[in-house]
Amino acid sequence: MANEQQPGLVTSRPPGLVDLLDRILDKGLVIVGDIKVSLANVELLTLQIRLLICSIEKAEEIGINWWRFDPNLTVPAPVTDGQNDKAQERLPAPEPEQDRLDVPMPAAAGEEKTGATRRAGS
Amino acid sequence: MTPAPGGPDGAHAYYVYGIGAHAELAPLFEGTLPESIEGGVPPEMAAAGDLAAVVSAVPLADYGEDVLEVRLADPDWTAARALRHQSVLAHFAARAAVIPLRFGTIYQERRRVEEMLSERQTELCALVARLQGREEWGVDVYCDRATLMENIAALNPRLRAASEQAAAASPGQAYLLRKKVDGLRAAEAGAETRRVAAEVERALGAASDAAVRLRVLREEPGEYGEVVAKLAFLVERARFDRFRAAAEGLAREHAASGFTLGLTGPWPAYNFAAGENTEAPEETP
Repeated sequence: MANEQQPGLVTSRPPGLVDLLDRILDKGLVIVGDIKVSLANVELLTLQIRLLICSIEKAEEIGINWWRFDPNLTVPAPVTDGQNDKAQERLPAPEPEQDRLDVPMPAAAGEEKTGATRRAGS
Repeated sequence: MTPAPGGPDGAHAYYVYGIGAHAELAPLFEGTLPESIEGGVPPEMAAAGDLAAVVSAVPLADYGEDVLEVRLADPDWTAARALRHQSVLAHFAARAAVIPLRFGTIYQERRRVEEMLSERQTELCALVARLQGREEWGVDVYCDRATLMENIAALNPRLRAASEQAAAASPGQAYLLRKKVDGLRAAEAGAETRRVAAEVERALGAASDAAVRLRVLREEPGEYGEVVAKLAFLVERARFDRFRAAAEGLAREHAASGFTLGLTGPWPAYNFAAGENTEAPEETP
């Protein structure tokens, strides 16, 4: 679905990691918790990760393909028998609501567990 | 290493993803949930009064103050966690009004999270109300410079006249005139870029509740040219169709001169999470 060039508005492009990180790392309500994370560090970090990602982007395409490169981010198949999450790249299904663009919502990495969907409190 | 969920044994701290109304968030914990930041287990709820926070236990071995700095310096470690942070927030924000917290908000105990909710009740409730029924959409403005430079003369009569003059001039004059044209052309391209970005911001700002311009750290070459502006808008779900139509109209209007608009979202309201009385990021030590 990536790279579908159409005149006008580009919506089919999933946001790249840079778009994600732009928001995730240093946006959001600032509440100073008990454990101090220096904001200056977070900004520096955003830059470092951007650099890392930009270089990969050059070789591959933005966003989705990036997952392949980080074994930690390989999303396990929905219900494997707890083995072999090497599977192929799989992004969690987009929210079923109508007219939503595909934001990749990486259900990310259970390194050793599967169970992306367990009930709270179990 | 997966932490025992909720283990109050002192070996865990509590990572906070976001805050919403208790009445809205509580039912969501009955359904399926994404993995929490350390993987394996779903997030939990911490509640106080009318508010609830989405939290999960994280091992102090990684999230303790001294260790965390070291872990964070590893881009792989951090990128994986940042993405899980996003996936948790995206899940809740698609279903309820949620104030997304900045990555890395951590409390020693669940009780401390509840205290924070109580202490900031008024401010947080107002913020939740502001985000109700709304989500963030990103609009990136790209410019293909070659196309813009080619078409820029058509946009500016003065430039067109100067080009014609240069074409008709004697070789000696032509050199100087061409230099002048190049200068004019670059200046005009810059002005046009700023004008388009400002128009997108104004027009889509009118179709949404709020607009912010995000920083573009350096030229970010992308497949549609360089990024000339990154904007974020807080859009009411009920008005999204109109917002999108406005974006499409702008994109069509400026496509011929080399501009492309990219729409991303919906996002949790990361860029609209600061209340009136909240510390802006710059002011926090």
